[in-house]
Amino acid sequence: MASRILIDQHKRLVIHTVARLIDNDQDREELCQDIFVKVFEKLNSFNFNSKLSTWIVTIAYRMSINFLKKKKRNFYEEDLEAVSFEAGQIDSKYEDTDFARFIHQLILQMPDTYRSVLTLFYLDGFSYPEIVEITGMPEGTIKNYLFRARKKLKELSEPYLGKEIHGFKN
Amino acid sequence: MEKRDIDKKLEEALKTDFEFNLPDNFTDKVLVKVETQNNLAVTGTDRNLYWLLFAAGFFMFITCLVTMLIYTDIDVLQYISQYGGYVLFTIGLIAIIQFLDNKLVKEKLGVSKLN
Repeated sequence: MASRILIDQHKRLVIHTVARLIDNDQDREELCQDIFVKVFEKLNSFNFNSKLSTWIVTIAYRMSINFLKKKKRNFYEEDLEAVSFEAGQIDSKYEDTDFARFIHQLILQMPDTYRSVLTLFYLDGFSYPEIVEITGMPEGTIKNYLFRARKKLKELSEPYLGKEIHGFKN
Repeated sequence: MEKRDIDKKLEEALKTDFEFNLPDNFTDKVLVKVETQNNLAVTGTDRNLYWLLFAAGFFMFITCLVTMLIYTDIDVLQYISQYGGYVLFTIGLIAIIQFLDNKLVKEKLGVSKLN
């Protein structure tokens, strides 16, 4: 019963971490299962120095990176400026959900480090020290990634947001 | 649209959950996997116990053999040479059955894969 609650409470966090790095749906599901199996296996070693959720996501993050290595897909740390984004099309009558989807598509084109940091900070609501613990990156790097990613997303989405307002005015 | 509104919209979009969901029976699948792994851990302990029992049995056999050779008039070596073939055949048969059980049955059940 307690195991079921633990899985149900942390499922979304694990999905976020895995789905940002792994493309294939079947791989995602299998990896999510393996992550929880590992969590139960290591639960005795959890020493309460951090939150349980941080500890679980740390396992999820590391297992996702190991999975990428096994699949011979290197952890992608390319410079954000080197990425040529394909912005796609947005209808002038789009809704907020479409805009969110548009943003998610842009995030998926970013290097892995940026994807992970954005997800951990905005979607999962982890603090900087927690993201340091999960990813092992220095706090300054995390802040820098967040700043640059946000700036890039703003740049790419501004033309579309302008279009939407124009549509409303008309 | 003002910069502040763009920031707000962007933040909202970043906080929106994306469209990937696990199947409804995901929790059950994980619990079955955990249970299987726990059983395997027990099986591993059992295997150690088997080896321990085997070692104890072998030690007792050697002790008996030496005792009989030293303290009795029975010609143990003659018996061994007479029935040794049967003993070796029986041990070999048990080993083959164990091997086939491990290869054909347990692998089919996915037990060794998880190991």
